[in-house]
Amino acid sequence: MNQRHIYAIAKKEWLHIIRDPMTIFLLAIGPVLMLLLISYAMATDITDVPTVIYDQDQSDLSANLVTQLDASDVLNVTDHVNNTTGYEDQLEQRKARLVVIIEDGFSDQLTTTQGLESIATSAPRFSFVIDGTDPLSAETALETAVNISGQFVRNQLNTLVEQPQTETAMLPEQRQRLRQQLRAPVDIHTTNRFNPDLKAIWDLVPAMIAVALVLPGMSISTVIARERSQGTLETLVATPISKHAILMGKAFPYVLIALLNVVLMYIVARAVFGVPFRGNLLVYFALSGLYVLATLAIGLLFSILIKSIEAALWASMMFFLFPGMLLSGMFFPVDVFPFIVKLETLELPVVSGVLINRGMFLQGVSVKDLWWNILLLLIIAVEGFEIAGRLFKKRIA
Amino acid sequence: MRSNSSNNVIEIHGLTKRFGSFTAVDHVSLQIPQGQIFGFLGPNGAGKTTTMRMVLGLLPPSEGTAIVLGNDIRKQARTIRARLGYMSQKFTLYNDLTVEENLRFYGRSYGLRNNKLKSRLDYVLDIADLKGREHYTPTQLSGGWRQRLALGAAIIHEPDIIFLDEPTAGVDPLSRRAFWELLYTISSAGTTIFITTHYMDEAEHCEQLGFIYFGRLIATGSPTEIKQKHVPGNVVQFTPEYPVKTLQVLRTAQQQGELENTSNIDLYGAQIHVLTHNGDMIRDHITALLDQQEQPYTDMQVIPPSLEDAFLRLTAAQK
Amino acid sequence: MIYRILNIAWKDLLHLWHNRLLLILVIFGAATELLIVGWATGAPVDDLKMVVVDNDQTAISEGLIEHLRQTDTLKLNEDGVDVFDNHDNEADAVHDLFTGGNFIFNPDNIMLIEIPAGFGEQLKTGQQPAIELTLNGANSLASTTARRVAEEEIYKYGTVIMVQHTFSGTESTAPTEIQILTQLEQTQPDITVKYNEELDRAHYTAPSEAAFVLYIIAIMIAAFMLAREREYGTFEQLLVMPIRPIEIIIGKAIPALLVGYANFLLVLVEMNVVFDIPVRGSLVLLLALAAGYLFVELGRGFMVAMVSRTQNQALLIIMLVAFVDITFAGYAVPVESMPRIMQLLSNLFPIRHWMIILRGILQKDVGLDILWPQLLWLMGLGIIINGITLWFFRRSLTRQE
Repeated sequence: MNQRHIYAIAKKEWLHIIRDPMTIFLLAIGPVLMLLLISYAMATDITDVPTVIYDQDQSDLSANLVTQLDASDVLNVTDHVNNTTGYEDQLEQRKARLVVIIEDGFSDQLTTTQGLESIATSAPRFSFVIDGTDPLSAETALETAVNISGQFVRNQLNTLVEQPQTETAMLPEQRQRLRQQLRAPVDIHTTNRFNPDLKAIWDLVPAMIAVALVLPGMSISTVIARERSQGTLETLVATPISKHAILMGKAFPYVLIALLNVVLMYIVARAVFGVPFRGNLLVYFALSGLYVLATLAIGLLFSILIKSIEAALWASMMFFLFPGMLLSGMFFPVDVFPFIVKLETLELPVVSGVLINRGMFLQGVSVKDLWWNILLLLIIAVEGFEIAGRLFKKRIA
Repeated sequence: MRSNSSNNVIEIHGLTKRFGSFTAVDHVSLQIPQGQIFGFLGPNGAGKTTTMRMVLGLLPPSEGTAIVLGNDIRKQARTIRARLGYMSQKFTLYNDLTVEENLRFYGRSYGLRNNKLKSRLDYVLDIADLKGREHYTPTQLSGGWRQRLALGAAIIHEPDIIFLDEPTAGVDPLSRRAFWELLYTISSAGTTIFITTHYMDEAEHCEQLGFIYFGRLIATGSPTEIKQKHVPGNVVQFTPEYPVKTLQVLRTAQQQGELENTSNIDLYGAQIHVLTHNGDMIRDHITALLDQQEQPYTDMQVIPPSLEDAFLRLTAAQK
Repeated sequence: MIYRILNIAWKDLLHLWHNRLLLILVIFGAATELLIVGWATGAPVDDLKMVVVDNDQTAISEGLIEHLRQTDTLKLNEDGVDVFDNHDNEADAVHDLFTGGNFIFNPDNIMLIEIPAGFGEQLKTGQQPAIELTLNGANSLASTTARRVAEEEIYKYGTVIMVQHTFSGTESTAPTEIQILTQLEQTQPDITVKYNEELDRAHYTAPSEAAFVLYIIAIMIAAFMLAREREYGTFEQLLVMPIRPIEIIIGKAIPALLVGYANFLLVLVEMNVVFDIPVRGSLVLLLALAAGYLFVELGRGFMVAMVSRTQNQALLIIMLVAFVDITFAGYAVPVESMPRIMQLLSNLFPIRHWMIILRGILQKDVGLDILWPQLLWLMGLGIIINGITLWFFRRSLTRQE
């Protein structure tokens, strides 16, 4: 392949792109913009879940519990109700997502002898109703509420247990039993490797970089169709430039723009979002280049296979964008997908892109650890270009 | 002439269009009577399309007025739209719709329906020679047929005036002639035709012409009038063997005063034209000169001037 | 007027018909998308790989490991322990365990559990032995799930052992595992889950995807139908005809509406049949509101077309717009969890209201009495958006290049 040829085509394609300020804006700044906007909006740690209290007990103790619940970042007590319809309405209107019902007898259970007796064998005098529509936040909210309530009760009992015998109506055996119950069997220390504070933004931003980088791939999916519609395709093909050279030349400016994007997004991730980067910067850029090549290869394939511009755009959108969001591994881990779906994702460079980004930012992996994804991208890129070239010859030349 | 000059369908006064500091159309004034074939002639970029757009109401003028069918297009454009037809330079046709679908769409857009639509549809298919091709898409038709289809779409609703912007660009001469015959048919039915072109030979077909150059109207009148006014006399034409050299020789001679009574000396393809008042005398003069300068030639003759000659003369005068 | 509107609509329908391939791609592609997304996200999170380092090696610790292994969620990776031998320090070993896999055949380990020496003894005597849990933070959903399950199992097992051994009574009255667990169960608070009893994630993502699909089809088709006219120059033709700009908009909206609607119906059926998400509320209301929403979104699509010069540009703009839109719509993350200012801004996005409507009628059974704010917003936004688009139309009458 003649280098000058490739350069000539690349230059022409470059001019096409930069003469259209809109496209340049979208391709060069669009991904960064997307990164900023979406990460800011979506990387939300679950906080301020609207919670409604139905306090049947109305005691100092129950009020205390409510205060503690409200003090948590995760929950936000918005209202108190007096009956069941009260909270059911709120649930229906989405004003509340969690309802904490403190039953009559709550404080009795924690202060009187009979109450204490029953602790060992009966359910606590509080219950919960949760809106399960969004399971992810529901589970977190629930877990928090259950933990806080449980801890509250344990603290109460601990205080009781440590009171001098004279001030409590408890029998020594009771005290003993209580002491036992209060003791957690095991002390579990949990550390989160790579993301110790469980910051959602650390989780999301690297993945979002990969998703945002599919834009060049999508944009390239129309280059051939556009030349076709303008009638310049035949002229291009009549030149002595080889088909592979044409494709490479066309892809070249997109690669450059994409790499520019990578730099910009890296800066944003580090400076604006504070995401740590633990890998090797040079390796990262190299791998990003590979990733972009893979997406461009597929984009080019679409470009050649699909005649009409709209169909090309639509197909590339369905291939890159729709699955990109939910199947990329950004929100739901790919490894738990059904096997068949996993197979489908093999063709999606974005999945590897997400893993590479997460790996380099959070995990500090080296090439060795990413070999599988690298191989995948390499195959996609090389085979993609190869097939694109052959199809180009067959269909057009 | 079929025109009825007391009855102007288009009246343009001082129409001007500026884009920033660039004046595209400079105080153009015209009157076009009903039923006339009016040609707007000029090189590319002279302002023909811009003027036409203003008259159609697609572009607001910077200055001046245009009254079409008695209505000021600045304010009352909508009232007369149904009586106008337009064939634009680029694409009048929907390339993925068939001939019939295209025509039906246009017909309906102008309010034709049922029997009226059907009969007009048949009519257009007939005169455009598209019968049997109803199910083709424009891309499947060759250039000539596509243009006829576009014209058909422009007239299907029996407009009073049709505006054609470079309708024969890129079409072969045979098709072009057929196209013009179509235009004559339409014109004889009373439709006014406003056409822009940069083909001089087409301009000869028009009843009235407007020469436009760099936004200014530099001549109006019938082809004969223009020729008589701006290129009185005739043309001495011959085919030189060495066109460039011979041209230079003649021009030098003219500069030195040896060729009086001549004006423009230009290359026309493989021939040289010399404009003059006294054709015979100059012919002999030139023959002698060429022999003397050893410039071989063939086919020396005197012919009447063409519009192109007129145009070249006029544009030279502008510089 | 109606005649002219229908004329435009018919023409655009013909365009769509002549581009049948595209249409099929659009409708079935979107439906398939929904299928895959729902299926993938609804898949239970299980078989999460964990490595357990047992420094105790007693019957008790082995018992714990057995219990952990028997959960569906966790999968014991026995070879993982060997990895420790290959590294000098624990940090490196953990790094190795948590990275380097591939998601198809050999996913990374999610969790490392270390049982200290003396675990068994300490547990039996109620001395609260410590267990170290290390999670793979790069896979947040998996590690959170793994942690929850592990904590629960450890807690249950620990309680059983501890109670059994600290029980001060006779052999015959010693409580069995079942009894202990049952009692433990009883002391848990009562939890009722409403609207998505199984906490199936697909119940959240499928409607998200369905709403999104309707949105994207509407806005894309509208944008394309108009952008193509502008790009090919036939738009100018339309402006010369005796047709009002508003008639053009409505005429072009109709085919897009039809396609969007057809797709929506398909998606509803799919959700009902495949994901078991029926329409709990009023179907009629849903269909009516869907049509109204479509009109608003179509207006946006037209607006995008009016500011783009080519179809490619239109697509890129829609992409950016789409990302912003679905963020504010609560597609992946509920709006209530977002910063306050974003919650306020989200009202400006039609899709936000549509999402509320769709979820409400699908999952709850809300009626207009609750949804009226959404309706009001949609109407308001619709008037403004379509007004702006009309203004663009009229402006193009006077600003031809």
